[in-house]
Amino acid sequence: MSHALIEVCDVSKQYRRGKIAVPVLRELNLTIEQGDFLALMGPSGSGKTTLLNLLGGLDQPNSGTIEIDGQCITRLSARELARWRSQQVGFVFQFYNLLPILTAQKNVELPLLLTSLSAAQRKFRAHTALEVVGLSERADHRPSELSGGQQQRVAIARALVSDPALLVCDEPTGDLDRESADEILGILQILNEEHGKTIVMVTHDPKAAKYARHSLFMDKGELVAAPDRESLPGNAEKAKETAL
Amino acid sequence: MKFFGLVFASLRRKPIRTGLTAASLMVAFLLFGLLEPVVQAFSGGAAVSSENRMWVSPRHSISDMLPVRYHQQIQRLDGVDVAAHQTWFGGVYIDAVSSSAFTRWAVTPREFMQVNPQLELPLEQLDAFINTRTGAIVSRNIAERFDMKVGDKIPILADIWHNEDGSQWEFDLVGIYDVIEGDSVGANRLLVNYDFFDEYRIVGKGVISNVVFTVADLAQSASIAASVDDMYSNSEMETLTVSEQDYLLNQIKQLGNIGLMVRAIMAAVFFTILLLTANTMSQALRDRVGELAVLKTLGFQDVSVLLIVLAEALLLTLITAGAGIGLAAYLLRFGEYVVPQISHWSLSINSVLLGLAVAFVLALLVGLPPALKAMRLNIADALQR
Repeated sequence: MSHALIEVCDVSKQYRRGKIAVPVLRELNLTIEQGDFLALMGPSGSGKTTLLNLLGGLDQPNSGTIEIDGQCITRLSARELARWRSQQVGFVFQFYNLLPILTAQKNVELPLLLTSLSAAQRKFRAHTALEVVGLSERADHRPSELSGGQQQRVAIARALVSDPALLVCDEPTGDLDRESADEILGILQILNEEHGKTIVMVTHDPKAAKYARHSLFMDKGELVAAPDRESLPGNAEKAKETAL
Repeated sequence: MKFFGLVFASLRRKPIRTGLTAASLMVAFLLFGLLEPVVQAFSGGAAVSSENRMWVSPRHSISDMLPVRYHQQIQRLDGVDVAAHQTWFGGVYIDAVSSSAFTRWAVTPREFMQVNPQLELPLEQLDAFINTRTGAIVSRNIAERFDMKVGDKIPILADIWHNEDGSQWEFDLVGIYDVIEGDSVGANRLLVNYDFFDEYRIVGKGVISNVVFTVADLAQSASIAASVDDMYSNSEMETLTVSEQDYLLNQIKQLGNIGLMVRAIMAAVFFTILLLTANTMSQALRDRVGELAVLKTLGFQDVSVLLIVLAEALLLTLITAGAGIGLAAYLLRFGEYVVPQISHWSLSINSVLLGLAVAFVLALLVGLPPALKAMRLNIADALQR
């Protein structure tokens, strides 16, 4: 039986541009179940990435609380938050954000440098993570020697390697062609369905959102609607096909 | 150590930029290493000199000469242990370059060796020096450099002290002495017998450059020095009596404060390098703000990111400093062929440690500002750049 992994209560966030305070999130409330795969959609500037950053512990709200797996991360110090991130969250970015100076293997090993694992154990785990995303044979390649889709798979392996409960993905297919995007989304779907990872994904792409279990729409810092899965473009047809 | 690979990989990120920065740092430390012996020679060159050795010289100019009778008069003073005298001989050995490798002095053999016990001469060679009117002895480094052997004739062409036969002097090499490493008095010298020299020079007979004496009681050296100078005040040639160390330092100071000048040049070099390297490090940080934000995203603590950036600066600076100083140490082997007047062409352990300390401070100065910036990086902002 699933339970709420993420509880967002009355969270507001504003940025300052000079002397002007710009509200980005307004008293937002949200609950995400463990094992969910949630797509956050909405126009640019609607606050999707800000919410994702807050869920991933990369930023702190101005007010409100965020509890993740019973841990109120809005009360953690910067040091505690860094440690929490290293153990509980995996990040996947639109532009992969791999370190160009390191091989795929070494990029995946990065989060494990913060653990007490030996070099051999780190290597083994990184190799396993690369196998999960189907890229173990390119472990010794640098990012510049990999395609966009392959780089994103390395980024997913890096997000996975410390076995976090939550994956936050910011436009993971935004820089990819359709075929590569489908591969990446397929991997995320497998991670969700077979490995039980809770995934929160920001996307502009309705086709990407259809891979999620649920979708939420944001506009001007608020959740404006939570249509069911069938209402998403493409999902209605898919649902019909399934029904037939 | 886990992060060492990350630090090392970062340095290889822009090989040309890192290479050029490393090269400029290495050249700066090479220069440091090559100039450090010059600084030492001009600021601490008399370090080996004896505290109880006093030098009496003409008060007003080093080109004046003292009457030789001062030697015996000073010897008779209470508290004076042994007094010797020495006279600048000068002259040319082979050619100007070879001549500049060592100095030539006329001395009273027995007394001179007594007041300079740091010069080690076999007893039979000392006897030969005392008893051979045309005798000469030379320091071992000079003997080896010019392939001089006991029994050789040493020709010196006079430039100041001509003799009755013209300008050619010839001495018989009767001894080769060893000196304590770094001794600026004994090294690079050829000593000839004063009696022979004085007898045959055609002008200036009976005058000497300095009287050098030792005191039995170090506590009395100041009062003895005052006694000597009092004795000759208002005389035909007033004297200035100081410790050997002060005398040598005064001689050096007459050339100007070379040590300070060299240090000032080095400071200017390092300041320039500091600006260049700081600029490079700042540029390197700007180029990888996103990467550092990723590290922080993955859970690297702020202080870890600071240490990684700082470690890059330390690694780069210390490795290049080590290479520069190491290369300097190698090249200094040839220093005596370039500037033979400096007797001790090698890097002391203190100089090496000073160089590494400079490198460490330089690394902190160039590495700390970008490291602090990296530490304070806001992840959300940096990821959006």
